[in-house]
Amino acid sequence: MAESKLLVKGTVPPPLDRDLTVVGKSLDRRGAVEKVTGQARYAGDIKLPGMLYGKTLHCPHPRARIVKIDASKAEALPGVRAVLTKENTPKGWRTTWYRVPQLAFPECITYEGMEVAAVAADDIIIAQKALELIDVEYEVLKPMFDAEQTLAAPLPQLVADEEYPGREMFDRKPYIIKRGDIERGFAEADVVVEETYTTQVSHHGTIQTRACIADWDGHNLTVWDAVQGVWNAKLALADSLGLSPDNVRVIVKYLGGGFGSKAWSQRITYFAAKLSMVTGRPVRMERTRGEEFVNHSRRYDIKMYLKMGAKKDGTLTAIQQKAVVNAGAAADKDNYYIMQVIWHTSNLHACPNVYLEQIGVYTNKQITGPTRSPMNMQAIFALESHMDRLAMELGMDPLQFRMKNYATYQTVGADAARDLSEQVKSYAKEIPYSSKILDQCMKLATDAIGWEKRRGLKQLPETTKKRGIGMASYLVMQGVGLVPYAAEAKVVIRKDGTIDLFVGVVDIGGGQQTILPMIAAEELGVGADDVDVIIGDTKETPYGPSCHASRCTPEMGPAIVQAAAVARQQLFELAAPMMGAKVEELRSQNGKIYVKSNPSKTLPFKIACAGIDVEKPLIGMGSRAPNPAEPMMATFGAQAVELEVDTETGQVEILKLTAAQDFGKAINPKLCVSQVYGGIEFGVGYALMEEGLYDSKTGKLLTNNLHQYRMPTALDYPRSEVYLTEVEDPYFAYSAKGAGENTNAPTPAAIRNALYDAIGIWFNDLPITPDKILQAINQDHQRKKKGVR
Amino acid sequence: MLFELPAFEHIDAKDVKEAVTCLKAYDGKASVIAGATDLLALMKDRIEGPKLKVPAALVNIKNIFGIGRITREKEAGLRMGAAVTLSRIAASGEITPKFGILSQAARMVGTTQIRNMGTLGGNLCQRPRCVYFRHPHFVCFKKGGTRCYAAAGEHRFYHSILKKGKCVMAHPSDMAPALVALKAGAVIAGVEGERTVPLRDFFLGPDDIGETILKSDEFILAVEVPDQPAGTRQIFLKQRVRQAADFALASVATVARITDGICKDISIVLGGVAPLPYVAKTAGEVIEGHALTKRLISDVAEAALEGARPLPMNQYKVDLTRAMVKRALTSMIESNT
Repeated sequence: MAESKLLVKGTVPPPLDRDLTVVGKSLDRRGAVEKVTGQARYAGDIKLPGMLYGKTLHCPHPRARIVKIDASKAEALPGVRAVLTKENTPKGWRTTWYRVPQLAFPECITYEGMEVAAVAADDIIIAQKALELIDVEYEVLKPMFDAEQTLAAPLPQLVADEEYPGREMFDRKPYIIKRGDIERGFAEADVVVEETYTTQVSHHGTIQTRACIADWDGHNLTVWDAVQGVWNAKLALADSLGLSPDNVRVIVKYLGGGFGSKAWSQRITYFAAKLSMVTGRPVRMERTRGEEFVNHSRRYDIKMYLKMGAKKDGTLTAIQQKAVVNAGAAADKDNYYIMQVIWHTSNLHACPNVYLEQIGVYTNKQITGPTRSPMNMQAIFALESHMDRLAMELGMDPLQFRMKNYATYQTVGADAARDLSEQVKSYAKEIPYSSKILDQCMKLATDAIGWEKRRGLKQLPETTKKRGIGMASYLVMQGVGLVPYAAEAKVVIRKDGTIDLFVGVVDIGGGQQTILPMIAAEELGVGADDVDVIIGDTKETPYGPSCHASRCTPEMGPAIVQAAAVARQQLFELAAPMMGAKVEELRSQNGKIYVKSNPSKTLPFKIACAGIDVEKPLIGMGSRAPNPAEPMMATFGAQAVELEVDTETGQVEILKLTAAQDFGKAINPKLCVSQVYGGIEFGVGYALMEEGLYDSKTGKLLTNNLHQYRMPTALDYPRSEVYLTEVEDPYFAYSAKGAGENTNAPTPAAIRNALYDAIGIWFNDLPITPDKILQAINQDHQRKKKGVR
Repeated sequence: MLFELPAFEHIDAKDVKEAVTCLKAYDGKASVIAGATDLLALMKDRIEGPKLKVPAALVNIKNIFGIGRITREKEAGLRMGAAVTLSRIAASGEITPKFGILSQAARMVGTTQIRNMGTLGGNLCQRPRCVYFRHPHFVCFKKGGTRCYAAAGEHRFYHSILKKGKCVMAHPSDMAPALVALKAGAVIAGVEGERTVPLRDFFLGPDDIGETILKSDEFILAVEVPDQPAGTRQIFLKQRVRQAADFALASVATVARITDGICKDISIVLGGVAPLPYVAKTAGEVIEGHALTKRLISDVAEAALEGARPLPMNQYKVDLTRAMVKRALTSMIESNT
């Protein structure tokens, strides 16, 4: 028998080797009714007896030093129970954001909105009043905003040791991916195109702002949080507060969106916990929408210089890139991915000669962090825009051009891409993918949009509205088994026939509480509803990863398969004598155990369970193994867009958007498709409207509410068709490679390429708002007028 | 922005007298509240300065008799109480079809939720949407500061190309251009009694701190729209970045009587491009008494934008508004109402 490739530690009992009965079904989402009827209680909805209300004071300057902070007036205000500042908390006390320790109350403030004090009071009005009574004297320092200007200027004089913790890890240091000979690559090219692309600051805009309740009982800390991972939150809180992890419990029953912004517990959770420990009472904190904008991690804004060469026949010969990433006041390397832009540029298309450089620049803009496709989206926008430009110069069809340069392998693995010790990655190695059907995705998405119509659109009668069709493809380093390379699952089968699945992860909205028990049910041979899931609570569950980077299904999936198979095997051992069969002859399906050679010989699952010792339920444990160095695990997809531009108003209407994905296999297609819809919404917003704007003089964030920061509304959402193309991948549970996050990555380039098709203008700066479109059309007219003369 | 709603007193006025007495007693420290969709956001964000205070008291006018009503009188035209919601205006049978432009404009405001809460009076009295005005750290001219930050700062979307002054914001109301085009009047309640002013005289210019002529102890009680003669055509167009929850990059309200192809009593009023609903007077004169030909429409559109002096980053609004004027006039010829 072939050895299982499933990514688990240890062995897995042999698979049931029969048709699937649960996986692949579009079952309804668990918890949906509670959510839409308002019964779901999110962290901010929980009220505990004696609960205090917390609020934080924010520094209004992007860069400053606290000369003096005096909270005595606030402390004296009746109803105020505690005020925390740098004066009354331990000097080295740190919070953690994305593995990065930040000083809880530093002397030097490195971004606008950073907290300088936290208050707990009897009610929110008193807490607010208390903030106004805190006197802070700042020495305002000259901030750094623009990444390239900062790069060109000498390193700033540090005002305190810890002003920019971790900066030496990456600040201003280029990381490089190279292969082949870039000079030769350009020499061999018949066409060389050079362009500059810029992408904007964007925000997550989760429907639920950060909220938490921290309750310290003198011994144990319980936190109801809004976070994507209960386990990373628990461990980080314990570490920060000097507690044993055993004494910290984190609970997330419902989460109102995350998109990376809640990848780890946010600073308010640490402040709430500390305030609870100081006052001995539960403390609630919740961010306002304004705080959410100004005080939270944002998407990196990136400037990308891209130069590419190709032969007449369309063969790519060279890709050269310099990506300057404004990392804001990111506090460390783990908050910043040293090669995330160039990794994507290097691997999406086959090209023998590449020289790619990425520089992260520390500035005094807000901290950055994971934001649905961090850096992928920016990298894909530039690369896929450039591919169309090159195709145009070559006189080639953009789809054919991509097919011509189809990549069957890549060269820099996931671990190497994160290795800080090596600044230049120069590999000639060809690492195959565990599975890849991007070609089918491109075909499907373009067929569905009616790619062949493109030429015909040019012959439409002359009106102010122009139509165009465009496409883009993408890849994502996914299901990679990220740090700490641990994902564990436990399945318990009891005498009464009940089955529990324990998973230490959070249902971020992707439907984890629905799909994870589906995997267990399939492997056990019972119905999906037969498996209860214990999720979003560190009590009783083994370690589970935070739900970001689309890692939950690809990391938890194999562990759940293993746990369920181990538990099932134990049940088969009990059932075999009852059925007069050998263990290895047994199979199970739809709640029945049967003999493979004689399927009519069955024993109901529940009857078999009667043989379980009531004191000793059957327990199956599963544990995910890290990914091997080879092959490479990745997901892929392509999108195509047909749109109409009103050349007089600059309004863009997307008539239709098609998206085809290679996620391996969908455990629950309906929920998987929902993720793609969400990604498209992100992509449309990023392409056409969302933009964080700063005042150029003070560096203050101006767009700090949901009317000035424009996210698409239902009326802006295009008609979309989503296709899940399926491919086998034995490394994952039922071939589920991971899905949720990255489907926004190709949308902006597909829209931008369609815009070119419509009006013959390339847009290289996101977002493409009506003002930019009208200005470009105007300039185009001026140019053409001059040309005629 | 970073704050909770501050504490305030709330007074339910049962009639006009109580409301104005109360406003007078608070001497500028009270504000009228109806739909509150703009007011509470300003309070939460602590939008204040030497000449703009967060109100200590809110006087609710929604209980005043008749203030939530739309009445239609044959001779006098239409009277809409200030507290009539925008949803009502968008859907009301009294309004369509004779005052159809009001429904057209109301449907373009905000979102369903905003229209359900937001009122006609509030829409006319809303404050600028300029990012600097809305940011508590910038004490701009409109708050009693000395400068306008937007003129040399961020002004791509919600700022003026016409009639700029000490402040360069563009008036955000959608109802105002439509009502000015209909030659509506505002009924203002004050301690001295009621007075009616043409709505086009209701709005102040860019060098004033406030946007309206209302004194601190006055409020809009109703809006009166004269009866529209038969053959009146009305078009409202609005352009925005996204299709809901957004203010106008530019809007155009046109009302005219067209008989036998000849255009009479035309009003062309622009929104989102000037500190007040901008009456394109010259444009109206160009067209008055003429047939709307393609050529003439082009001339009118030129005339409407005459004197436009855009800011460095909003030049596109000139082309945009011109195109919208053309479209509005063209669809007036095509519409048969």
